[in-house]
Amino acid sequence: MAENVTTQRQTPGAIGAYVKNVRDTAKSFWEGMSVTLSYMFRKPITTQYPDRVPVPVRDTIPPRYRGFLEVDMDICTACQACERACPIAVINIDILKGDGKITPKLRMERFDIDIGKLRFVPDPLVPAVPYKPPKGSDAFPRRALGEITRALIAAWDAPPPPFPSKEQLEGDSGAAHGKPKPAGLDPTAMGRQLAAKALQVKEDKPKLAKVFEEAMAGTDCGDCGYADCKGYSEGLASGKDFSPEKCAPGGADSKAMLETILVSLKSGKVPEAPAAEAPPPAETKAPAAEAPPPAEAKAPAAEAPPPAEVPAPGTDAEAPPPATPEPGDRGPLR
Amino acid sequence: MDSYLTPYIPVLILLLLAGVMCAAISVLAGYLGPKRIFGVKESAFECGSPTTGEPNARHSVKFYLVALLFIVFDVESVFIYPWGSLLRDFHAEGLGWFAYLEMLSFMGTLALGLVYVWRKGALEWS
Amino acid sequence: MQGWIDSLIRGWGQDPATWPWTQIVYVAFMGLFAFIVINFAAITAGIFSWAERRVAARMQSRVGPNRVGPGGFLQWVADAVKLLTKEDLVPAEADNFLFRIAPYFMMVGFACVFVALPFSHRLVIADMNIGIFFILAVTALIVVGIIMSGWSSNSKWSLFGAIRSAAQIISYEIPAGMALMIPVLLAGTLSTQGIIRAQGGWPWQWFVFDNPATFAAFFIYFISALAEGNRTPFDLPEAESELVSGYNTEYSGMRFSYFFLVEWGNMWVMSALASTMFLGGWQIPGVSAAQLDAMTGGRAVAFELLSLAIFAGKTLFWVFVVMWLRWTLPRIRVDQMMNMCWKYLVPVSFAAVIFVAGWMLVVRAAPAVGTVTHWIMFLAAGVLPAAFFINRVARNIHDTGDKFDFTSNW
Repeated sequence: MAENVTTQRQTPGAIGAYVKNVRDTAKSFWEGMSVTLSYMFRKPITTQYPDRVPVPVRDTIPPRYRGFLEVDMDICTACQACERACPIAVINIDILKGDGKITPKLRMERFDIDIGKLRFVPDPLVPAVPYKPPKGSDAFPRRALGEITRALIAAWDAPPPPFPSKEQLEGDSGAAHGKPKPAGLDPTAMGRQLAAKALQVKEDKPKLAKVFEEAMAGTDCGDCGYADCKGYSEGLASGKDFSPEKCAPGGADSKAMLETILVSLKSGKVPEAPAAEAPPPAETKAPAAEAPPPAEAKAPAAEAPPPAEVPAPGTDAEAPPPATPEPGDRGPLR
Repeated sequence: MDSYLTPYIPVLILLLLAGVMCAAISVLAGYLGPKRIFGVKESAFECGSPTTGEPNARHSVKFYLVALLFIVFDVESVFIYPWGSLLRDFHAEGLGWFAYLEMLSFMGTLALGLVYVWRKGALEWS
Repeated sequence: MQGWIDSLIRGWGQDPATWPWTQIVYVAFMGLFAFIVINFAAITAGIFSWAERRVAARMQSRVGPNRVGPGGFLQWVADAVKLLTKEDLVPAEADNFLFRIAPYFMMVGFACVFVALPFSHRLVIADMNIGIFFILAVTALIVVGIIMSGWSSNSKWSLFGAIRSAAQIISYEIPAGMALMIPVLLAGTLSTQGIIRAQGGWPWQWFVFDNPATFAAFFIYFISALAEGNRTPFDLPEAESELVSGYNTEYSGMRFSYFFLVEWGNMWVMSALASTMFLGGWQIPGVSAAQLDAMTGGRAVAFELLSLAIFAGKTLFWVFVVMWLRWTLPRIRVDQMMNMCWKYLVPVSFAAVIFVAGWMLVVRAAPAVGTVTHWIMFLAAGVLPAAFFINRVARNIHDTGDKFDFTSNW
């Protein structure tokens, strides 16, 4: 646009600058407007996601795309090993110990991956955390890398599910209301129960090891230095190991329980409920929270995997692929 | 009715109707819109922080200068309009050159004024 | 319009001069036309808001709003409904009364322009003998509305925006007034219809190609109108990077939308005025105004619609140019804006008036000079630049290996 005329004197130079300004203005209009008009007559380069793309979205992902962040909720034991292994704290896992029953099994409350922090640097085929199959199964239902994401994207391409009817909605909410909310575990009470059990089987080392294992998180994460929970509990039972704080997923609760067992094994009797450790409210609350009888509650809790709290809609809609464990490809979790 | 004022009846009607329609739509919007007023929402916008100082603080004197210049030049250009619309009639009467020179002297005075404020630096904004 | 109502009354078997109900019929019809015109103004403003977004999107290689209605055409209706259901907020420290009525001033000033603005050969609400002067006067009401809104908001941004806007609008009123003076000189009347009648249907009969000074005056008027309408590159009053949103910062909901309604509606006003004053208005090529006057019956209606279409076509072209400019040029600074007005447009417009007044004397002495100049101007300033420009645009497309594609992906 019009530049400032540097001098006000009406010398030929000033007039020349004046005329030059007018000419520059006209020229910049000419140039600029020809450029914008030419763009107006071209095809827009933006892609109209998601309904006017030439190919389905699932086909637009490059084949070597490595940005898959997948958590197979069906096999996750909430051991938090990946959270601890992550160098930039991308993974955030909240866990709840127990599911309202007398078991120290962990239950996942939240599994967040902060994509903003993520750098996609490590090769996803080289796992940061070695994956070990859960107890009782020599193979695990690991899915192929990227399968969950691709299933999700396929679900986006599919037409949305119909709106639920009013009855369905009411039925669902009623069911959700009826469910008892799982409460936290009372480690003190459970520690004493386990200690009593341990005293009974004091001489039977394998049985004692089982009791110790009950007090652990049972994720076989290997953080304690042993291969799995069984190794750690055997070490404790045989008297080779005396440190109760090695179970990282179990945290303070496992430590307290293991400590109680170790102390009672040493002293020969279950310690009385100390006022400082287990205040009366916890005592009165415990029966209410632990309403279902332990015997029948324990069996399903031990076998069923922890329920995924935040199931992605796509994974639910898509039928899970047949669990075909590939022997050579059992390394990565993600 | 006086035929001289007849063209202004529509102006009056349009004036009233525009005002009434605006007011009606505003009232309608007042009924349709929510009313959730609280302190922060009611305060004047200042990038999210509490307002500091008076909004009607001093403004650059240049704005006032522009207003003065506007009065001078706009009022003068208003005088040119009657002459402009009658120039053809002057031509028909054979007074073309007279009318031209008359207005040339007037506009020359005006141009002198412009040169004066320009040289005085009243048009410098940088 | 009055003549049309007179003939209608005669059709009913009454004499408009003596019939007692004549005045009532006038007022009733005027009210009806006023209602139509206000709605026309509001609807064109709404449609322009959609059109501007589509044009902007195409120029930025995007698609733009295309979901509501065919090609997104009903987007503006959706926006209007949304704005209607928004909260009407008045800041606690604002001057309640002034704050509430400021948008009305804008709307009223804007709507009044349409009284004198022609649409076609017969279609003008009131063909006033001071038409242009009236338009210049009532557009000043918009400044009052802007100052009011800025002052009453009691916010720094609003007041800064309002003062800038006022300084800008009043400054550019001078070159605009002087540039509009030139068609008045050539036509010898202030009436908008009279000015159109003084021109012809063919481009070389338009005032813009009358002589070099009128050509310059057309652009002076157009630039000044952009500045008066707060359009880019002169949208400093709403410079969002420095003033948040200028004088309408504190407004919300429907009151806020009035400001933008006026801004977009002003695009029609400035373009219609440009085509009235410089581009032959509704004149149909090959058909003189006298021939149009003499027509009756269905033929008259057909030619009336043709003249309406021609006028609307010219106007919409310049509306498009206004949008096109907005997405081409960056915003200028305050000092550049003031320099542009006072050091370039004002002196040049004064010189143009003096030149045209002298030119008229020359043409009166030697009419052939005028005819030759028309043709030379038409070819040198109209046809040649247009051809070069189209060539340039085509080269811009082809040189980058791209191709013309205006139809796909709407």
